[in-house]
Amino acid sequence: MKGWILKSSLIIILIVLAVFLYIIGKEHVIFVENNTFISGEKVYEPYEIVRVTLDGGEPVEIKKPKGRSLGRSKVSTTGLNHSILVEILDDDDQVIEKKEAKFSVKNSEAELLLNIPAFMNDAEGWVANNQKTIYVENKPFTADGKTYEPYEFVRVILDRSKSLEIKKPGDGHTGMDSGVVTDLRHTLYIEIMDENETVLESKEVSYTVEHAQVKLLINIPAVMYDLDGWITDYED
Amino acid sequence: MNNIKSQENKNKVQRFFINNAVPLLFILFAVLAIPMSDLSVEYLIAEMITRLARYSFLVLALLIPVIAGMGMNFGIVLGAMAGQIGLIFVMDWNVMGIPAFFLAIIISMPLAIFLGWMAGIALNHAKGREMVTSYILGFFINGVYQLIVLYSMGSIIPISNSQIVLPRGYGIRNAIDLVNLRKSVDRLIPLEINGIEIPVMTFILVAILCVFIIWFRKTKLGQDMRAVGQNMEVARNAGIPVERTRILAIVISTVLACIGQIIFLQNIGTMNTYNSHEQIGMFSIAALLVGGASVAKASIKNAFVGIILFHIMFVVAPRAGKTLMGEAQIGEYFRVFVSYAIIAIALALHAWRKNKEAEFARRSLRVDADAAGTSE
Repeated sequence: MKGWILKSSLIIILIVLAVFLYIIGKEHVIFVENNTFISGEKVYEPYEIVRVTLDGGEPVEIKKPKGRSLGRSKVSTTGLNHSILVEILDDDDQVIEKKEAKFSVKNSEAELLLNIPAFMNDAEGWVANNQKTIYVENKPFTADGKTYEPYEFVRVILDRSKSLEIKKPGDGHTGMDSGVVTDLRHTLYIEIMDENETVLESKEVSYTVEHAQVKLLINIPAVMYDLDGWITDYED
Repeated sequence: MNNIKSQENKNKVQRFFINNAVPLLFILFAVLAIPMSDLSVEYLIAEMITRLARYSFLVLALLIPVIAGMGMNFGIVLGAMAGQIGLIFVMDWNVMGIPAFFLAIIISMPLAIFLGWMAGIALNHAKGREMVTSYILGFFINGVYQLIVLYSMGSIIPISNSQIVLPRGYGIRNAIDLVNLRKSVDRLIPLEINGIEIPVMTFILVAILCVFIIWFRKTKLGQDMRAVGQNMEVARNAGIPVERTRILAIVISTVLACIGQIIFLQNIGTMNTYNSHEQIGMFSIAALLVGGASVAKASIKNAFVGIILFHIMFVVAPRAGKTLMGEAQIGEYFRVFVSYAIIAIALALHAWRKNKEAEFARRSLRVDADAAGTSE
């Protein structure tokens, strides 16, 4: 009996230790950007140059986006709690403003997007999950009292990399699929196909999502007919 | 009387050469090949330090089955495979640094224990032929490992990291860049002497294992293993659970090999999913044998001497081959050929040494009897 208790305790300790190691060791990639931040009506413009220090590590300098410069930097961190120090610099590299804060991330958030103008202005969503789940549905869409019917079979390619094949709802098909994309600017390529998988019609659209948007819903018939509301926030 | 003494001295010298034939052969090789290779002493020292850190744990994992009389455990590849599975999960979950190292150990340990236990049972059914059985067992489990990693991971076992999964959506890529934990243990305590990086933490882990082995030999279980190793029947009559003791020896060895493989791969920084484990058994055993160990007797000293001598050959042979033949490839062939040849020579030497020892024992008995007759 004593032996069993000891063995069980040891197993429990090992499981707890494994969970602890997983949490403290899991990598979170943080894209720090000095880009325009749009939150509803408000627009926060980027700074000329900022110096960012994450978790007391090596500071990185990020310039305003210009030409091929994206105005962002990638930093790898581990653990759930982080600190950030942002220093706004002038042309002579002198600090004209600085702000420090602590923030925490969820264990499930592998990639985050941290916007400096939003952070400096205390705007909501200054740090957000950079992985966006795109739900694509091939279902009826109603606009202006008219219903646009779903297609028999469509192939959707998210950001020219992730392919989804969606059939009309019914016969065990939900008429829906999803894929994970990263970042704010995306493309959607749609192919309408017949039963023999011959492409009847195709269309490509580009779209931008907001920082705080994590789950989005796209309706295929609405995209094909250029209807308003073809992309909306997804609600579980 | 003088005649007897000179005979004894001659026997001692002869015994020394017989016992240390393999290391002496390698020392001779090193003495000849090092000047030919044109490699600097600093470079050789740096290489030896790296290789000692990389291989020590794996080679030391072989010692416990030798104590239990089970010979060289070719089954350490089972532990190595378990370690690699732990690393695949850690890479998939994107865990970094030291937590990744310890998490990989925790994940792979139950698997290593299970495989060790299974191997132990199999070896109990093949008493006297443990080495060949563990060697073949390695091939068998390798097949199972390949099946799991190539077909189940990504399909049945959830693996989603696109950097390690094959583009088809299931199966693990041939080579995994262990960027998350490359040299994480080696560089935990940074130390550089004359430009040579010393992996302090890895050496601390190896030292802990050495202390563990020394302590373990003195424990009840360690003594039981020694008794089983010397004579199974006598041990059984003394009340020692022979089969259980032998299984434990293999389980401990497999678990240590699992940790050793994780240390080895964090040092290398890349994992060949389908090959990294394959030659671990062969190279570790060859190194231990080069250090003067036999299938019946191996010590910590043998492990370290063996790693240094065996890897001096590894580093020096291609360059020496190039100097001698004008082609580095010859040296490459040479070192592979030599590592397999060592095992064959060491095994043959072990049998020959056993005969010689029996002869020595008979001769010394005869000498004792003669001396007793003379004194009478």
